[in-house]
Amino acid sequence: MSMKTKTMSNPYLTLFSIGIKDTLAYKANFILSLFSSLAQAGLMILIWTAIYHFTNTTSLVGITLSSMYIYFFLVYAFRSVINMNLPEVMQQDVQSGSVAAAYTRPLKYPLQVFFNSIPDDMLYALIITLPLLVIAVLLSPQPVSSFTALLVVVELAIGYSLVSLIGFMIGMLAIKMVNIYGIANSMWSIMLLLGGGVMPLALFPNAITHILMFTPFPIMLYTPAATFLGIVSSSEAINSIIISAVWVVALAIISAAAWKFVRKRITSAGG
Amino acid sequence: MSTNDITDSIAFFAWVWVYRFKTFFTYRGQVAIWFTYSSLTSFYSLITMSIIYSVSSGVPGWSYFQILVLSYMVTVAMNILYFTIDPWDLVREMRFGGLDMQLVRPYGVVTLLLSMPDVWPIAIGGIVSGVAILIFALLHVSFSIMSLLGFVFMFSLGSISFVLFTLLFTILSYHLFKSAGFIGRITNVLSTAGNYPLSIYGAVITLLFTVVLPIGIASYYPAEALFGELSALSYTAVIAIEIVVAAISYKGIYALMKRYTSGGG
Repeated sequence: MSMKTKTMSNPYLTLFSIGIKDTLAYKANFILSLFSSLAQAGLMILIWTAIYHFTNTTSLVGITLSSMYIYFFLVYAFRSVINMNLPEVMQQDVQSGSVAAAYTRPLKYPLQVFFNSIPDDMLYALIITLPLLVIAVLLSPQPVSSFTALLVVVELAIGYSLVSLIGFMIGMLAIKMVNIYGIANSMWSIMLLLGGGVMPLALFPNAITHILMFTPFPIMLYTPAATFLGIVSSSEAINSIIISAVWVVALAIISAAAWKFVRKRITSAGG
Repeated sequence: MSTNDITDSIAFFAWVWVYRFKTFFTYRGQVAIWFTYSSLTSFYSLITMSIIYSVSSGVPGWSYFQILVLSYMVTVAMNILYFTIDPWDLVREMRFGGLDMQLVRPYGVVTLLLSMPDVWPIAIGGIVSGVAILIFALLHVSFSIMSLLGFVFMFSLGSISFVLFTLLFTILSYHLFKSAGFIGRITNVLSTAGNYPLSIYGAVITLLFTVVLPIGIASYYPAEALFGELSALSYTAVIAIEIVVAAISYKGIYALMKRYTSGGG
């Protein structure tokens, strides 16, 4: 079988490779995004340094200032992995009419859109997450055990699945609302706050932290960073993985049912 | 530009805003959803600051309500920005030639660029809820009437300068990279930085966010003016910086647009 035939037999891989080429067309975006992630982590570090010094303490709710530094490098590293790109791709498809055109291809649209957006996430992970992760590891006072590293990887994989599923559900709203940019952005902000993107969830009031641990948000950023830092124990991390895995299954079922419902209502904006 | 031209441009710009409001309120169901989401996002800073002040002594030199004032000034300034220009859409229109249709109209380039049809309507919700929380915070801090007037003037001028600066930055981004992908990240950096007093970042970063990426002129300095922390000389210097940023941005936009070639062929 020739190379060309092999590629044709894996249409989703073809979509994946098109996505990579498309993403790499704007290389400056990556450099500037790395710069902005470093700048944001740096700003958060300066802000919390001022707060710790003004409070005249070395630890807030058991989190030391040096742990806070590592926390923000980790959070900005993980934020790039769970880049919420799906709603934007789906909105563009709805606005341009591509979502209807996609049905003329012998491919499933949810998979098409997923394989189209995954290269973006992978390249951001490679170019932004890796350097920030290296900084976090270098700043870490003790080496991370292989078991902890495994837990972090599993948590990130589950977090990525949850963000993709939530992104797909928001993206489906575009079929009815056409412009979902505001909703997607608002949802992303809420996920960042409740997922520990702004500050460790341990700083929230105890009751709220406990409630949040049963939601799909902490596994996106807080749990992996807290596992890395030892703020949560291995058993707490495993509990969080189990709860989040249940969320993945539930959201996957809801997404599939919702897609079955809305796909009949797709009208082409392209005429 | 003659007085008539300026009057025509302002009238055109005002009509575009009226049109935007009418368009936004046409789909009432969506308005309700957008307002809900936008209001939820507006509570973001309130929650963040409340937690910071509940577990620590807070930000050096700033009370809880003072920091809320600062934070919601940034919310309002950023939403004014998003309601006036959409950098992503503008660059997309430049790439695909959509801007060309706008440029044939008999108004100044800056007026036309600030009157693009596809801006972010949810920003109205952000402005309304941001102003509401800003007023709530202002009721809990003390200031004189003169300080309030000085604050309103500096904040308004600062917001206009910041919008013009972002417009210049967007067009520059098109010229350099043919993409606006990173502008969202830069505005996130500016939003994060502006939420806290620039003084905590040190002299170099304070200077950076005052003249290079000037979020400070629409947030930190007007807040300092409100709380009576700016001397008359400093107040004049900040107003001068705002005017210079606005003038450089205005001239820069014209200079770059002279070199603009449509991506639409």
